[in-house]
Amino acid sequence: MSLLRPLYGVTRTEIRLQWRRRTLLLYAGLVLVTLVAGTYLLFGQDTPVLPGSSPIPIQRLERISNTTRVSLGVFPILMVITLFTLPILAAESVPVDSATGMRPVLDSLPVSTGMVLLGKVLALFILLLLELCALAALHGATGWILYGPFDVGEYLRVWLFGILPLTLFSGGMAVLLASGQKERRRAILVALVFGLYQAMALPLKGTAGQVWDTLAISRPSFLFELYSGQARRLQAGLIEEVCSPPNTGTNSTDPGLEAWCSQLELSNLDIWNALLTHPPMPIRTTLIACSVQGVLVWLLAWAWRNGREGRE
Amino acid sequence: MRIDLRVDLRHIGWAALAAGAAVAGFGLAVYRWDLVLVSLDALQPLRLAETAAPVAAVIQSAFLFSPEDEPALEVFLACPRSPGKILIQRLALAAPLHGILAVAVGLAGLAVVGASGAGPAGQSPLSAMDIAILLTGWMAPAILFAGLAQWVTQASRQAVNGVALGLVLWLGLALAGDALTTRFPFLWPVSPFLHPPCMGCPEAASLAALAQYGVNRVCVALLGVSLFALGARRLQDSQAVLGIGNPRRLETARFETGEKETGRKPTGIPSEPRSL
Repeated sequence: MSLLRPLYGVTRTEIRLQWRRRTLLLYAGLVLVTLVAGTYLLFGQDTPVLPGSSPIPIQRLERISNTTRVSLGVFPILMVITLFTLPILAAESVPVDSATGMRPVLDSLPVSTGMVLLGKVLALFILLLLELCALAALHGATGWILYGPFDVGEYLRVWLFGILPLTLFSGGMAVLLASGQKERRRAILVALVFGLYQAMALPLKGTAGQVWDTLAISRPSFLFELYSGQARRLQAGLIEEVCSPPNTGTNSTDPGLEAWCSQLELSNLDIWNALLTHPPMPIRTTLIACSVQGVLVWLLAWAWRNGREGRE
Repeated sequence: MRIDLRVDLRHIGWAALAAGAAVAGFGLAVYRWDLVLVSLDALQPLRLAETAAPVAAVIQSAFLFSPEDEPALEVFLACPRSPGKILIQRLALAAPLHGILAVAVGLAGLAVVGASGAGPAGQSPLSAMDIAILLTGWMAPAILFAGLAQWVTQASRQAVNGVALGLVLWLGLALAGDALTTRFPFLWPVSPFLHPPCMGCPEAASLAALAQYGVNRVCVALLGVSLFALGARRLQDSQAVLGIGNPRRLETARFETGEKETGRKPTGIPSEPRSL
């Protein structure tokens, strides 16, 4: 109880401060515009080409078409925005205390450095969680109205296993990495470097590619794999039930089915090419790497702040 | 004045330029050693100045005068030199540095393409017009994104919002700008990353194509200047800079509570004071 009370206090205060700063609201607005407007601009205006004859009922095909459109369409772009922008917006959480003169007040309280850091990260997680719930509901509702029914389970899986871990990891790491900075400007620059590093999901060639792939375990962009794993699963489970050779074999002369299958190919998007060329990293490895990185950065931030307190 | 300049130069710093140089260095390395499997038009050496300059401009512009990040904000507001003038002075100091960076990146791109043996796509070397476009084409997107970052910073009083929004739009338009103008062709006048007329083509670019590119650059730059002006205009209002709130609402409150009137009657307020 004595541990939880200060944590609760720091978290509650930080939630209020974050709310007043409005930076996370800006992030939510950006994500919403990207999702709704981006999906509509890139895919929404095209009427899906449905095959004339198919072993699968036409309603099922429509549902699959809508699911891929709503769940996978612009999410890769959203991932880049999340990995690149969120760190910049979240990074000033700790340095803002120094900028506004709150640091001496915090230091005089009977709350440890670790508790303050934990409270700030927790507050960010809570706010991001709420935002993601609202965004998933809003985007889902908009997609349902604009395009029609889709598989809600698949849609939620993409959010739960794809976007949620990426968002929380990206935001939390940014807070910790920038916590050693006194100025907001420096914190933003640290976050910018971190964001660029994260958003670098480009597959490289040759030796550089080998080095980059080895580094993949040290950079969070491999969390893309969690998401692209969901995409592959969706593609394999939903699309290939119609477009796989046994089905297309019976309808190989049907140009409608072929057109329908080709429009669902994820690799039609350039950004997907980058993701699909790499074999997915096992989820267990991903989670272990995430945990190790989180603990290391936590220790680094804690040691940095403690060391600075000692010097001051 | 000398002290002002020194303070402003220190305020400008090197970080924004370093960020732009890092993007340019990455693009040159990708081209030189053929690192990336996918083709990214924004990282082609001849377009690199256009891609890298906005990054530096966004970061620089957002931090030129950010009310929340100025420790001596009240002192600035009390001085005869207005915040708007401070902004313009810092801008005038930073702009040449960014110009040097962008031209250096453009020349480096030319050198890398020249070192590979020919013009783009193995075609003929670039003409004087191509080189002129290469060395000046970056200005319009840099002004646009810098203006946007400045305006968002002033509107929200926080540089972080300006940086985030500016960089997101930069990234989004650099990746998907072509798709946007393909789908909505009427957007060509305000597309910051519009393709320049055929560079290194055997025949010279047509006058119409050059004119279209010129109109686009002018429109994009004007948009950026307008956003700058909007941001600077907000700095004229001390209360808004201090984040006190909507000055009109404050005036209304004073009027309603019977405080001293400022001379201008707020609109939408009854002329008679409320009866208690």
